[in-house]
Amino acid sequence: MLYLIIILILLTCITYVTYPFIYQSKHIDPLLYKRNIKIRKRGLISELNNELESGILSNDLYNQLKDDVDEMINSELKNLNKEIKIIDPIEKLIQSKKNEKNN
Amino acid sequence: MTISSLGFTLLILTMNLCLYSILGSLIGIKISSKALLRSAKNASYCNLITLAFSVSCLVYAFVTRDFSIKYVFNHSSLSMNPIYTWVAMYAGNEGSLLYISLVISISSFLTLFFIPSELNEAEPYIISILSGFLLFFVTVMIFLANPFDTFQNIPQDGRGINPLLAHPGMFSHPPLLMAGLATIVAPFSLILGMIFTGKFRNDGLDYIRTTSLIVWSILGIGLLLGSWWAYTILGWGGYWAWDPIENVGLMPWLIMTAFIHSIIVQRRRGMFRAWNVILIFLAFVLAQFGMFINRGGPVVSVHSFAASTLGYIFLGFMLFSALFCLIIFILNSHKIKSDNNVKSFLSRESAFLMNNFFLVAITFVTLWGLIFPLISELFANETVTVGAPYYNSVNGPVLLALLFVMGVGPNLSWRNTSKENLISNLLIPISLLFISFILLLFFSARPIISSLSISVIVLVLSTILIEWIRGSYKLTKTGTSWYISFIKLIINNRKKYGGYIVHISILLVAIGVIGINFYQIKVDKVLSVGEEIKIGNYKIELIEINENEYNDRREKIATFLIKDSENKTINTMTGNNTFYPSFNMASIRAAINSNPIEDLYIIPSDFINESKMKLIVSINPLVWWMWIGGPVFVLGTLISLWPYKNRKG
Repeated sequence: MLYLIIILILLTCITYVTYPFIYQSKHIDPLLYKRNIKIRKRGLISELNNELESGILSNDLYNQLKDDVDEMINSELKNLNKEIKIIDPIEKLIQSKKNEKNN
Repeated sequence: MTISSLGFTLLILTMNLCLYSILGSLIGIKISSKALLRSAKNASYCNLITLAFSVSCLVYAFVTRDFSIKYVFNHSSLSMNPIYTWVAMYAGNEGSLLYISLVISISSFLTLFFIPSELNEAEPYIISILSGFLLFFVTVMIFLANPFDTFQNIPQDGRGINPLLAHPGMFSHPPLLMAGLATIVAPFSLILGMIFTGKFRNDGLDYIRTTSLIVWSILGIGLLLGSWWAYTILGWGGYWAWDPIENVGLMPWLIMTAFIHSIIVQRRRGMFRAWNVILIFLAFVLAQFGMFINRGGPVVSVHSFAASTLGYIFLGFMLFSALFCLIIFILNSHKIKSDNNVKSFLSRESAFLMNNFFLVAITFVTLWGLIFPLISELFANETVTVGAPYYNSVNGPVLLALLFVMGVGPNLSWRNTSKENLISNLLIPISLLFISFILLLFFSARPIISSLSISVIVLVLSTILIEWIRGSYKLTKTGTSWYISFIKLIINNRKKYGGYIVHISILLVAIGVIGINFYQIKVDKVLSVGEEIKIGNYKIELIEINENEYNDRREKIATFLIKDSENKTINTMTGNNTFYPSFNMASIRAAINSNPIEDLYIIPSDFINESKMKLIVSINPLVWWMWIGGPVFVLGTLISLWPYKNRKG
């Protein structure tokens, strides 16, 4: 009985560990990070809205904090764009023209 | 194959899975193999299966009283009440290491299973850190503290469970405390993983906050249950004795408290990034320090049940962790700079900083008190004992300042608070503080510090209530009732107001602390059967003393009749003093009559003969509120943790 238990546990572990080599997982969307940052922004703005609605924040302070959130998130998006190097087709064209000129 | 060899084989399997998981995730990053990374993650999940079965083997051995296993022999006996089987499982060093390993595997599983996509890049590092931590514990068990070690000749009966552990509080206090200390690795691994990717910004902070809150609440409840256990069973007459084992649980909790406040600032304002890294590193190292002290550290404690000769191993691991954290921080400090700085002293950010400062100060005062006897012995060859008076006199004022910040902080706005806002927000709370202070000063004959403490509690409570009343009032304008408006207010701002409910629980604990420290009445007396003693409004008559002899213990039970000042019977209470010859240990259970106003607390400290005994009787005002603080703490944490559904998508 105890042998059977150890064999079953061993088989489960081996199957589970080797499974990813047999079935490859899906490709991760590079825009996922961008979407996550936007979701986070929505969360922060929603918290500010709730605080405004509940009278915790004054209108002035709400606007200031909202601007701060915008600034923080925009700076993160800017950094992210640099990292994942998403260049739109027009920008790509400009880049190649520049390279041609330099050559 | 025997149950012990099955349990041990599963430990070896776990060790191999950990090694595979570490190597798989690190090589997977190097060669960019998603399949290998996924496989390493699955191996980490498998640890949960192997350790759950290994723990089951040990529990089964306890249930069947398999005394061929040394650990079962040392921590159970045929006469042991079967309900304490679970407690016996972690009553000693080897079993508690196995339990901790199971907890780490559960927390690793949950951390990795719920990890958000924001942390995808950091995930391989997180896997290797979690598996590395688990590998340490499993390796120690396999080579140095095997819970499945067996005898050649099987004994007929075991030594029995440590009598101090035979208490309902033991089902939850040690496992929660051990779990709290061990699972600090979860938020630690998340932040370390992000640092390794070179991108510790603001991604995944909600997840880090959630894991930290869970770990922090587990540790907090564990500490509170420990206080309750000390109050009811240890016969100290108190709830907290600044014992080394208590202190090593308190210190990481204090740092985690600072961290969960400070992470809010990073999330909202992009600040305190480096500081948050320092805090989580510190919490992790202090948790390892706790493991070291608990398992054979050089500091003497009255309740270290997992003491062993493995202290040096845990000391080595703690020093390695500290060095590792220091190197990682120095190498990456340029990558973890904040986006903003504190712009005004009168701002919420500044209040959070003050809160952090006080929490860290209390931690270091406690740490100093803990290690000072060692330092003095090492350098001056003189043994010095640092007791409660040191901790109370140094930490007391800092705790008061912390409570004050808790009251003022929520009245400050993010960025900057204008003078008008400051006055309008603080006018009522500060007025209440002064009024209560002056009233207490005139009508209470206690030290000024007690009046000040109660006034600060009034400040914090009024701040919370005013904000709730103001918010609910605003919502009633939409046509809803006060009750619905209040519920809506809490639900809409549950992260913040869950935190406020936790603040209320801290106030409840503080009320109990003030009650027992400043308003306690205490009497020591020798009493014969039939005699009575007067204390406060109570008359306590010793009715009888009974002695019972069992296989494993001698129990002396005293029965008291409690009357009020008008001779009306209130209650009959019993307290006992039990001696366990095989452990050479006595366990005292106080007789406690508890109500929201005060506890009547009788310690049967010594039985002189069959009709005479020595008692310590005290009236402990407001302690009842301290234990109510526990459920309120849990409620606040749950509200704060409750996820927002409508934000996604």
